[in-house]
Amino acid sequence: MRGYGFTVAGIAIGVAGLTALGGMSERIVRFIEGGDRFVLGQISVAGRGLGMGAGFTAGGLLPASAIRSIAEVPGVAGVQPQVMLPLNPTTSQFMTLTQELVLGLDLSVPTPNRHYPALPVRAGRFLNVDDRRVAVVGAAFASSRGVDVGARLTLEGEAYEIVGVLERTLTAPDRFVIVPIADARAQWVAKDPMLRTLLASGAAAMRADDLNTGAAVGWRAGEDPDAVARRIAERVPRVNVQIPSELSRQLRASTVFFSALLTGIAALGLVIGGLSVANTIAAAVFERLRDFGVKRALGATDAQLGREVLTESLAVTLSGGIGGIVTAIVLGGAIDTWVSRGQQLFLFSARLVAGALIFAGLLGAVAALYATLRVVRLSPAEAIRRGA
Amino acid sequence: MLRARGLVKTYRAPAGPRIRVLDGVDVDVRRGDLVVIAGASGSGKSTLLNVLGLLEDTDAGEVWFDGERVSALGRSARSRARGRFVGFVFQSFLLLPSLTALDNVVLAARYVDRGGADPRRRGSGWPSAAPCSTTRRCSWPTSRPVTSTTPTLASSSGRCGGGRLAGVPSSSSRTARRPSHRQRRVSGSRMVGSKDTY
Repeated sequence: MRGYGFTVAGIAIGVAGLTALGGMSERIVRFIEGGDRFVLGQISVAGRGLGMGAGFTAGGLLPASAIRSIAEVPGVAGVQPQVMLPLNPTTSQFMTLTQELVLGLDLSVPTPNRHYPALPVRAGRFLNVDDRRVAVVGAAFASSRGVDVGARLTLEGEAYEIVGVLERTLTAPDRFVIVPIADARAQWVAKDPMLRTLLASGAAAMRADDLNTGAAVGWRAGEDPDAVARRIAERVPRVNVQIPSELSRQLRASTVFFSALLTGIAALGLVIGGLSVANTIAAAVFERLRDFGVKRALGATDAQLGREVLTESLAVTLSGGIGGIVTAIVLGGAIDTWVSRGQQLFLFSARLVAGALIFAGLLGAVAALYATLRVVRLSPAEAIRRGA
Repeated sequence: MLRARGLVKTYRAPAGPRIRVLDGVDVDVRRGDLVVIAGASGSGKSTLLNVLGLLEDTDAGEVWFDGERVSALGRSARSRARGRFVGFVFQSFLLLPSLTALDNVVLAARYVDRGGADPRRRGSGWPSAAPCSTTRRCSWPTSRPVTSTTPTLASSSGRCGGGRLAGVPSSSSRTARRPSHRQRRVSGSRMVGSKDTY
C-alpha cells in the first residue's frame, strides 16, 4: 500500500460523496416507507370539517356518538379516539415535514394500528391509562430541545413531566408529544378561542369525550380494510374516512417530488462517486506505466500483472471506500447534531454501506482491468519509455 | 545460445519516411561470450538489445534462445521466456520507488518461479559484501536516497531473475562502465551496449 496515499484519499472522497448522497436518499425513503406503513395499518376517521386542529386526519370534531357508531360497523375490531393538535399553531408548520404535533391517545382502548401496536420507547416508559400531565416525546423532539426522561415541558401553561422518549422512527412520531387524551383535550380548548367560547356559552351540548379530532380504527382478522372503511363511510354520517389503500396512493403521489429528488440524488451520487473511483484507479495504473514495463521486462506475464493490479486496486479501493464511508458517517453525524438541530438528514443503513463498498470495489476492479489491458498492449520497452 | 537472423526494426518519424534502425541484423552469441556493441548515439544499440531481450517487437527477423524460436511466441510466453533467459541491468536502474531495496532485488523472482528457497530469504541473505548489508537498509523504500547502493542493486535485479543473458539497454548517452564483480559472476553470455569499447 506504500505510495498509494493520494489514490486512497481520492477514492475516499468519491465514496464519501456517494455515501452522503445515498444517506440522504435513504433517509427520505425511510420517511416515505414509514408513513405508508402507518396509513396501511389502520383506518383513519375524522369528523367532517376543516378544523385546523385535526392535523394528519384533516377533519373536524368527531363526537363520542360517532365513535360508538363506528365501533358497531361490521368488521371493525377497535376504535381509539385521538386528538391531534399542532404544538405551535402560530407557526406555519402545519402539514410540513418538520411539523411538531401533540397527540392525545385514549389509552383505555388498545391502539388498533396493525403495524404500530405500540410505539418503541428508547428511554423511560410509554403512557399508562391513569396518567395525567405526563408526556412521551419523539426522538427528534427530545434531541432538538435537549430534553430527556424526567425533564419538564410546559404545554399551554401546564407543566408536563417527560416519562419516556421514543426510539427514532425517521417518520412523523419523531416529532410527536404524546399525552393522555384528557390532557390533549384541555390543550385543544386552551388553544382554540372559538371552541372555548362555544363551550362557555352552553350552546353546544358537548361532553369532554366529544372532543376528538379523529379516531384510529382497526379491522377484524380476515376483513378487507378498504371494504371496512367504505362500510364506515356508508353507515356513519358526517365523518371523513380514509380508505387505507387510497391514502397510501395519495401519500405516494404527494411524495412524487421526493421520489424524483432521491432518484436524482442517488444517480448523482453514483455518477460522482463512480467517476471519482474509476478515474483515480485508472490514473494510478497509468502513472505506473514504467513500473509495468520493468516488471514485464523481468518476466511478468499479463495474467500475473492483471492479478497484481486487481489485488492492489481492491485493497486500495476498499481502504478508500472504508475511509470514505467513515468520513461520510462522521460528517453526517456532525451535520445532524450541529446544523439540523436534531433532525436526522442522513441514514447510513447497512445496505447503503455494503452497496457503496461493493460498488466502489467493482468499479475499481473494472477500471483497473481496463487500464491494465491498455498498458500490457504496449511493449515493455515502450512502457518504460513512456513512463520515464 | 542466442541467435538472431534478419532483424529489422523501423520507427515512425515525426515527418517523412519511417526510420530503419535495424536493417537485417544477424547475431550469434555463445555461452560464456562477452559481447560489446559499440556505436554512435542513435545507431540502434539499445534497439538491438531491446529486440534481443524481447522488450520490443521487430518488423522482421527471428530470435532463438537455446534453440527455441522465442520471437514467434505470444505475449505471455515471451514474458516467461524473458524471465527464464534474460537478465537486464538498465543503465538508469529503473528501481521501483514503491518497493524496498530488498523487494527490488527479488522482484524478478516473484514472476519467474525457479524453485529453491524463498526469494526474499535468498535476497536478505545476500552477502555482507553487498552495500545492502543491514536489515534496516534493505527495508528502506528505494525512493529514499541510498546512493551508494543503487548501482549494485540494479545489477542484482537482473541476477536474481536468474537470466543467463545479461544486457544493459541504454537509453541515455552515458558511457558504459566495466562490468562489476557481480556481473562477471553471471554464468551465461553478456552483451553490453556502449558508445565506447573497453
